[in-house]
Amino acid sequence: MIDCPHCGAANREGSKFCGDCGQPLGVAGELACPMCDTPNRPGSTVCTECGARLAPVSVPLTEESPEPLEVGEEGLSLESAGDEETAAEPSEPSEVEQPPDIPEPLPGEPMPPWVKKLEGISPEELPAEEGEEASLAPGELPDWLEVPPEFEGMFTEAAPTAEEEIQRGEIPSWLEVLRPTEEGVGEPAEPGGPVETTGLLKGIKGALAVEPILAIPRRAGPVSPFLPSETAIERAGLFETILREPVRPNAEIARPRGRGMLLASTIRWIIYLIVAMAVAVPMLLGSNWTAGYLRASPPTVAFYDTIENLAPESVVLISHDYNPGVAAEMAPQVEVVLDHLMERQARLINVSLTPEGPRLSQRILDRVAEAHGYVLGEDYVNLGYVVGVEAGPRSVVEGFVSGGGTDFAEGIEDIALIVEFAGAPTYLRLWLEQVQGPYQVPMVAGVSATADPFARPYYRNLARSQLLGMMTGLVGAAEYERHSGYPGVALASMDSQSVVHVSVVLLVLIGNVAYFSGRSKRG
Amino acid sequence: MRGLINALTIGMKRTIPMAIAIAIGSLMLVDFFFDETHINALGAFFLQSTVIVVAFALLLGLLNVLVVHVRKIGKRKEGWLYSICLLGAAVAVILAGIPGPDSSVLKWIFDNVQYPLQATTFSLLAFYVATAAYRGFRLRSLESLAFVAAVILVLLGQVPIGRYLGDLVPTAKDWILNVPSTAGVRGIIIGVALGTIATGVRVLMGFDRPYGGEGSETR
Repeated sequence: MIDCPHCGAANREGSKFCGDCGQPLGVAGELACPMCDTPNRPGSTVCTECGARLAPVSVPLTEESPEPLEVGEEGLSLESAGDEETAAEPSEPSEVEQPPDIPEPLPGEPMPPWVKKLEGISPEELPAEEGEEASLAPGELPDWLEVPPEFEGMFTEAAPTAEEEIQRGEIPSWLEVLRPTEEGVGEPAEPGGPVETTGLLKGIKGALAVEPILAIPRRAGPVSPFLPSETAIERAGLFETILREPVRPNAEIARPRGRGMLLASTIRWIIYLIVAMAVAVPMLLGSNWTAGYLRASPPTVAFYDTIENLAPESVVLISHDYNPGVAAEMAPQVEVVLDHLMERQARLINVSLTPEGPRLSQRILDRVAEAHGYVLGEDYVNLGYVVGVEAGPRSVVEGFVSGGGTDFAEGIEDIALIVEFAGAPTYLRLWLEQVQGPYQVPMVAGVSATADPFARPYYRNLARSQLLGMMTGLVGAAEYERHSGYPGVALASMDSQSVVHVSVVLLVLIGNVAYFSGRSKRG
Repeated sequence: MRGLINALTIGMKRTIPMAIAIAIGSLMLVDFFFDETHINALGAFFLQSTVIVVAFALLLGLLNVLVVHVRKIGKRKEGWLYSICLLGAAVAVILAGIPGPDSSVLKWIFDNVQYPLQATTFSLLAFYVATAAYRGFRLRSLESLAFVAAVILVLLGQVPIGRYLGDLVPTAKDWILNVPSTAGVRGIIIGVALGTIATGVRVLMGFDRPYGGEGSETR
């Protein structure tokens, strides 16, 4: 994304204009001239509009800063303007004009003819540059650099007068001591930086201030000697061995049939066998001996009591929101509740928020309805799959309100109870949030064992019981069957489920014994 | 001029969806809290529209799946044979479902293919959970001791055999599920609710634009 430099709005890559304010968007990385704000291409060193420098001048790293340029004695340097002694001494010609460096030819490279001509000529013998400067004696200035007579006084006034010197000396010593010192502000330093080679400032040193830190690379601190530990050396050796080892084909790596792998595989298959036996054997025996220890939990009893207290001919809305994966624990719940509802002569409206729900529920509905003499369309209906996530449950009850759903109920107020069978907590939450809460319809829920922790807070709500009753998994169905006195497939499955649970507990304990024995052997 | 047109086009693409979302969102909010006949009727209309739009979204999803797998077969990408199976199954179920949801062929496919496959896949969890229990529930620390103790108590207390061992096990199981577990889940639910409110407010204010269009990202 490109952020607009004018309004800050985010724009798509490649946009030329801002979508928010319509201003042109800049190119990423471009350099804005500090003098005229003209955007320049990335990498530009000089502004294409005004010629201002965009990148700082690099300073060559030298041990000593270069000598300041002293072209003439008067007027060129403000610091030296009043110092007659310094001004009187002309500088050495060699310091003023350095001859251009003659590039050293590479070995074997032919020397160009103009370089050959320069060989053997000393810098003093070099011909002076053309123009006025060529005829100047050392220490003289060209006419255009001469200070006009009307400005000569400016430089002389800069020097302190004798009167000022006396006044400065009159400050008592005790006051001088108290004078605050300004940290970081010292005497004006000698102008640093490189000599300008082009433009109007040619020959002047330090005209454009350069921060030396920009050009001086950081020097690495002293490196302490690295002494690797023995463990590190050992690991490095192991790593090197692995690297030097020739690459083996995948098939060879995929089948490292050691004793450990064989043991792990054997244990895994033994566990599978234990689980399979724990399920199958009690079913085949059919003793149902654990059913005697089953007690209906309070949520299941509350579920039962809610249905038991329904008036005859009450309209009950049932939502079958589960899939075949959890049908083994949900179907017994549905069966026993439908049995109870039909016994209470309730009129049933069935819907589903899952695509598989209508078919799963229809099988059970047909079976139970036949047993109770219920007629499809007269005593119960199946509205099928309702799409639309959050909107689904509300659209069902809004359909009743507008009279478009079924003639069982003219409005949501005719619904005496909502029975939700949720294979996942999402569906339960949809009904609670979209229907139970807004319309204050009584509601009970049968949930899968995995959904139980997420459904429990809605049941254990002291302020307002959102769920009047709750049934959990196959055990909940078995509790309901036992409480209602109609034993079914859930109660018959309790032996298998009990044995499987005990088997898993034993596996946890055996696993820990193996873990601790292995640790003690390794020391 | 061109910049102005660009700005207007992009602005319209962003502003119009935002205006629609804010207007309908506010209307549904008012419909939820106030009992006013006209607003309730308008809310019911948009609710029904949502169901229809979601139904079309399902069709689009199906179309997208088919297109993706047709391209995969065309380019002979890895696993293209599975794509042929998917396309064949999809076409078969679509054809079987043309007479309606009560089609006998569709019922047969569901009862004899989809139901057993899904049930079997889920049933395998029992075996994986058993092996995971053997390998995973190790007493490596004090926290794992509490974890393993809770596992054993809930596993035994959940089934009738727990009562055979004594009343302590079912009571401990009920305490674990009703107090620490419910407290944790309640915290999660409250957090989700607060997050939902915050998201709703951001959408209504136009800060979040999850409905697509230009600049659909969060600002």
